Amino acid sequence: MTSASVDVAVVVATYNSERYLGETLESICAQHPAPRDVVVVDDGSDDRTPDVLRRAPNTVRVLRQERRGAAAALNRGLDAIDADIVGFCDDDDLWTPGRLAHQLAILRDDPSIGGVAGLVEQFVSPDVADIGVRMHVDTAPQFGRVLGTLLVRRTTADAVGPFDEELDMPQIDWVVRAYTSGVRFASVDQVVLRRRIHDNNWSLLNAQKSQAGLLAAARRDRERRLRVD
Amino acid sequence: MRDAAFVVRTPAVIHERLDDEVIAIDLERGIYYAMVGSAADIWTSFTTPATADAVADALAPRYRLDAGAIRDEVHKFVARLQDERLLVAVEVDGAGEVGATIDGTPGGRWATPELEAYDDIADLVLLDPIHQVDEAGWPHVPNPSP
Repeated sequence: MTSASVDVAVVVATYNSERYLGETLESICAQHPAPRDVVVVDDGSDDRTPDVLRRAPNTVRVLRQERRGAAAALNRGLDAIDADIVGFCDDDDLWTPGRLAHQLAILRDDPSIGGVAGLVEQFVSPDVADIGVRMHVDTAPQFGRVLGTLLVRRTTADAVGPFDEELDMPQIDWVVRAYTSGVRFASVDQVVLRRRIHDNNWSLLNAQKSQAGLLAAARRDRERRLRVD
Repeated sequence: MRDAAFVVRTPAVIHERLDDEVIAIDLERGIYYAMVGSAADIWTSFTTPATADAVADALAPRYRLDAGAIRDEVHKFVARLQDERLLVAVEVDGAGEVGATIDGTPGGRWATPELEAYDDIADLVLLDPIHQVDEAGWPHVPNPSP
């Protein structure tokens, strides 16, 4: 570990993201200080994602698997890392410059905090710009606990447990579990993640998965509330 | 005066029932709601257009009660659901009764229907892709350039 890197690992699950993954990995590896370990779990891509990964920076490790879904890929990534602090990113989103340093400072200053969130800013991917005309994309920075905004201690991730492999959209459920686990979360008042809007993530099938994911997360949130009360 | 008919305000409201419990989410506000028992049964009755009176009539035997015994509470709960914009008024053709969509299994003991509301996951709901679609439907992929 050089002086310009920190004991942070980032897990990226990817599937067929040849268009955007390169930019995603650059945004992570370009952080100052940089994470010492970036694990990309390629969940059975059959496009040019492997070519993109071959050209990735040295700190990027690639694990390939047959397609098993986002939860299985994220869990495999978590199992493969040993850093004290963990970050995440969807394979089409971007970490903003300076984000890691800011969130890390909070974790260092206050040992009682188990994770740090931040703001997310959505943007219409330039290569599909005409979608912005037909969709209501809110591009103002907003607080929203998309997984890619969170920087958590390893101990937090372990306490929350694995991503649920029975869910198509396990990230929402994991975030809900993290926030209802009793772990203290803080947040930085700046954009930490730029969330790319493009045609691949706004399909009807994804909408149905989203719907199921949100209902499952709500159900679990309530179950946990009832256990606590 | 004819009792007004209502129905769940889809697609802005999504919902799911598992056994005795309904979870509903208002995608516009990010609030999620939970309803159990009698509340869940009332909700399910409004997944197709229904009047409060018809729902009371349909549910009462399920709880081994007279419709009169539960009518007020059903009306009150319907008003609550309307206040939260979970139900929307609809026109119903004809003067026929609107049916309630509850199966015949026994309903257990009637308790005053309650609506639980939580905003814990509002930011997650509001950022979810399901929001960002125009009235025309889903965006189609632009024709790939040759």
